Amino acid sequence: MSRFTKEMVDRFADEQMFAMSEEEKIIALTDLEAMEEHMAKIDRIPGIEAVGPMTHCLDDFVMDLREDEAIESTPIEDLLANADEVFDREIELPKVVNG
Amino acid sequence: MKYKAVIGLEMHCELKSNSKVFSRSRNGYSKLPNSNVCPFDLGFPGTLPSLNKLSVKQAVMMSMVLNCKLPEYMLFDRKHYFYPDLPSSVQLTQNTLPVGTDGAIEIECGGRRQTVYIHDIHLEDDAAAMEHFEDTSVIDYNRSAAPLLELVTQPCLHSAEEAVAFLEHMRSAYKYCGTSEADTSKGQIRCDVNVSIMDEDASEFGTRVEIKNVNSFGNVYDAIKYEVRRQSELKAAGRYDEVVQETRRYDEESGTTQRMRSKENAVDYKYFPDPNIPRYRLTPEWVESIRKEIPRLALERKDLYTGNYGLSEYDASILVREKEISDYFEKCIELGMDPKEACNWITVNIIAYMNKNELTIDEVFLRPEHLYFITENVKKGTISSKQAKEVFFKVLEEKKEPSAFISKENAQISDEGELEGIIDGILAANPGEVEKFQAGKDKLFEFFVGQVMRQTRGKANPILTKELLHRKLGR
Amino acid sequence: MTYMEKSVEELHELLITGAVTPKELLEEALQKSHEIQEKYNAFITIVDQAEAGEVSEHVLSAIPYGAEDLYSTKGILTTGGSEALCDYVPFFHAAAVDRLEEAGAVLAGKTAMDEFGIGTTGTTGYTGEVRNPWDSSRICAGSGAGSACAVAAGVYPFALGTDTGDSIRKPAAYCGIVGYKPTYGMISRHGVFAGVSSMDHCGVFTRSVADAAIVVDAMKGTDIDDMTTWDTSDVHLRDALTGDLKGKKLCYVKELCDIANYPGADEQLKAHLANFMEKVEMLRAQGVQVDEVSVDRALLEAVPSVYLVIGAAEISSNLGGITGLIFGPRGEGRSWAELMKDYRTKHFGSLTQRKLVVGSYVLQDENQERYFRKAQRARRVIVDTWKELFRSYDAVIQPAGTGPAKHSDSALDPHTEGTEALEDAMLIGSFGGFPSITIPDGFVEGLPVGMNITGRIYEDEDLLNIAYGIEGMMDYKGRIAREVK
Repeated sequence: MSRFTKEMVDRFADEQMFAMSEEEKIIALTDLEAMEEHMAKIDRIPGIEAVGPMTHCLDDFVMDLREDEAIESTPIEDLLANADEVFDREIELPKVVNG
Repeated sequence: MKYKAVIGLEMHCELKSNSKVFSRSRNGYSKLPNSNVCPFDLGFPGTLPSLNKLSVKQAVMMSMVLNCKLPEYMLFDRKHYFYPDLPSSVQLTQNTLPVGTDGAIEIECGGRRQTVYIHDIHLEDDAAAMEHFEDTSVIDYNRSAAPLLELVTQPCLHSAEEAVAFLEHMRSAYKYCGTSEADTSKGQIRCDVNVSIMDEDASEFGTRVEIKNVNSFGNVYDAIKYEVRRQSELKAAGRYDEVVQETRRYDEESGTTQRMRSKENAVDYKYFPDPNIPRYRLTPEWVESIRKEIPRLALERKDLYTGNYGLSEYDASILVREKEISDYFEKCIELGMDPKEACNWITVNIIAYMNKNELTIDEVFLRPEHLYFITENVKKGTISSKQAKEVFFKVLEEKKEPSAFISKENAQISDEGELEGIIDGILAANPGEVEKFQAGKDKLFEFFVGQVMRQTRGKANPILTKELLHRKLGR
Repeated sequence: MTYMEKSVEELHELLITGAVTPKELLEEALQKSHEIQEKYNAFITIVDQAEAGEVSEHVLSAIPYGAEDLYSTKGILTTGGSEALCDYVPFFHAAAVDRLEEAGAVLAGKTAMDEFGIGTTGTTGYTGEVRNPWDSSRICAGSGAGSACAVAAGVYPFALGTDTGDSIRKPAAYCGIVGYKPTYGMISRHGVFAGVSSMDHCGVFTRSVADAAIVVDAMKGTDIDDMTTWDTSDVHLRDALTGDLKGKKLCYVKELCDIANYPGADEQLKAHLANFMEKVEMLRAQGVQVDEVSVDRALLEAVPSVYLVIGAAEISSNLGGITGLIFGPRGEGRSWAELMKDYRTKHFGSLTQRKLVVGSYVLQDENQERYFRKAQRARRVIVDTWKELFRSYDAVIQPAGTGPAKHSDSALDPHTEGTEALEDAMLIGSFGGFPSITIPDGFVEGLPVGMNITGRIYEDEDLLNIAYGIEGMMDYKGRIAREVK
């Protein structure tokens, strides 16, 4: 019996702000089920627990931080050039009610 | 109070810098929406964070002020949620390895000292700001990616007074360190308050309610008072189950807390370390150099002033209200002024002048050196204390050095020989009064003093004059 | 005369002597782009309005090139292969594009790709499948399919791509050209749409190792807008190419390359591995030491799984900002949430949506340790294993994938059990940020195949020189795709 359900797929999709078609949900379920096989393969690698997770591509990366200097603001025409709904200098959207 | 109140605070403070924490656009207030922005602030595809060294330094400094444990390196996590004010749907924060953990700081509340325990302090970026109209909202990204320091206390505060005392202590600390303007009227400080109650002898905490986004210390005070009362009344009435773990907001108009639209499930933020910001090692050398830059803070200075200088609690509090004022005071001491005298000049005269003219102490023309010069001249006897006040105000008004107003002509006459000569002349010119005085008319002494003053146009040193008169008159 | 089929250095010579003009080059590139578009579908935007460049001392000056549609290009549509960005016109260049502009190169096209760089076939972009110029019934692999196709077809001498799994190095193999992924952080990712941030690399498709060196020399450099870039001012890739392999020690992994691992292997796989071993012998005959080494099979077989988990997690995080609020064709709805949901439902492709579901799953607070962080630990073990190899060897070589380009209809491909590890072995180059390059090294059933060469982190000069030397021993450099049927 699979531990994954369509409701779970719905929940994950909803968390990612989209809805999936019924056909796609079935494929998504197989993707999730495949995760178990994938983790089983990973579990077969010896020595995993002895190392830390790799969070960045390059370890021991040495760098300088940038100095606190400000740059000119992006021109407003550029900033909003791709926006579909604009009011004066700002992005406009349906009223956001307290939540 | 029947029950014990248990309060924890989350204090967000906007940091002060030229550029933002993760982008290079300007960090500061602007009336014009979207005028301090760059592509990263709006989450345009392909943009990456660029960490500001100053923000890190400020974070490290405040971590040390709170006596927290510093990590070996700076690490930032992605915090995921969708909301219109978060353009990339990712906030950069520190969940795994905050810049400060397990701290403690001593504050003063109601005359008592107490320790406030700090869970953590971490550096993160701010979201954009929205403005709401009838049917629509608009988004201003000026604040997006701006630096915030969030500190989280342990639930170790037990009254609204303690909470506000802590917040005021921290506000002072931020301002003293120069890491934030910490101006609540500009919205630079935002607080979330966690409130619960429990029986005095209980060991388990009660149900915790979060009051979000309380933006003035007055509101923090009122919100806590209201919420504690609300919870207590319900508990006392046997309806404690109506107190649920939830998020509320403080409604200033009604003076109450209100339920916010609650979500069924707790949000899963899916924190994980951001791969675009490599670990940044906090070297011992850098940390040490930052530690050296931490100024002595208000409470410590106050103890110094009351302890070593014998100032009153009240006066000392006034001096430490702003770092610039206590720095001014300490400079006066350094120059050699008497602490009580310096305190008096500052708290009575300078601050009044500042308030009247809406100036900061650094904008006042009269510097510690000038004040010292004036008081030294009073000590030397060159001028009287009355004259000193006049010079003081002249310096302030005309913005000229005090030496411009202390000269031979208006210098006080303190030369004994000179005064003796003048006194002899007056006594000789008023033989009748001398006789009457010798016969017992004491009041005439003032007459002679007055004559000396008249002749010298007020410049005779009054103390010396009286001394010499007594000597000459024989009594 | 077809100039765009020549190498960069050849073109530069011709430009300097005036034998050809910048305008002629650009016109040829644009014309060729239009010619092949219907058949192979390699382009999202052909920049007809591009201005011809000016010849300068710089070897790249006035030379037209293409860029994968993940690279932000100011004033030119940049879609990331997704309908969600079908109308997005950036107002800034990606840093790498800026540098190429400074060098005088001319952007002439934005090439097609898998949506958001996720897919590996070149078939999931919203503009449709990209077809292989050697055989239009086959794919180019992905995500950089369009760039690979354009370079193989002779439209430009170079085109930009990104390599997150093996998205430059496999398309290069399938198209018979060179695909180079430098060390992580060598080229700034500023302005390049983020896929899997801890594995995204900028790179290039060319028809020779020398050209790859030239282009990356121009693209590389520290960038204040990308904290993961490092100082490469002392790295001179083109100058490092001597072809001298004396003293170099190479190795290949037995568990991947030995045909004995694949009982019941199909003929194509046999030919592919035989070709590789032939090249190994060629190297040995030239005096290059090539050792066979052994790596735990369990490790190799887990590589695709590690990529899947980490990839899904990071891409789901990076796509959070694609909401239609500020850019893209906004969705419909009475609230911000409805708006965002409508947009992402309508415009995200099927594979993308499935990745988001998996990503969401493995990043759940209660799942992270068991899935995401475990995969990150596995990544470290794999990378450490390769670093251990690099203590004794200067490069690890392997055949690229399991054979030539696969068919669009996968039912037509032969299949052998147990080849997943070999199929995806180039992922390891991305895991560790190792510099890695694929060069064409032969033909199987008339179609090109490639050899992948991977070197030590930060030692790109060394790696490219080894590739250059190997390339020089063979005769596959500079080939233009000709349909085989």
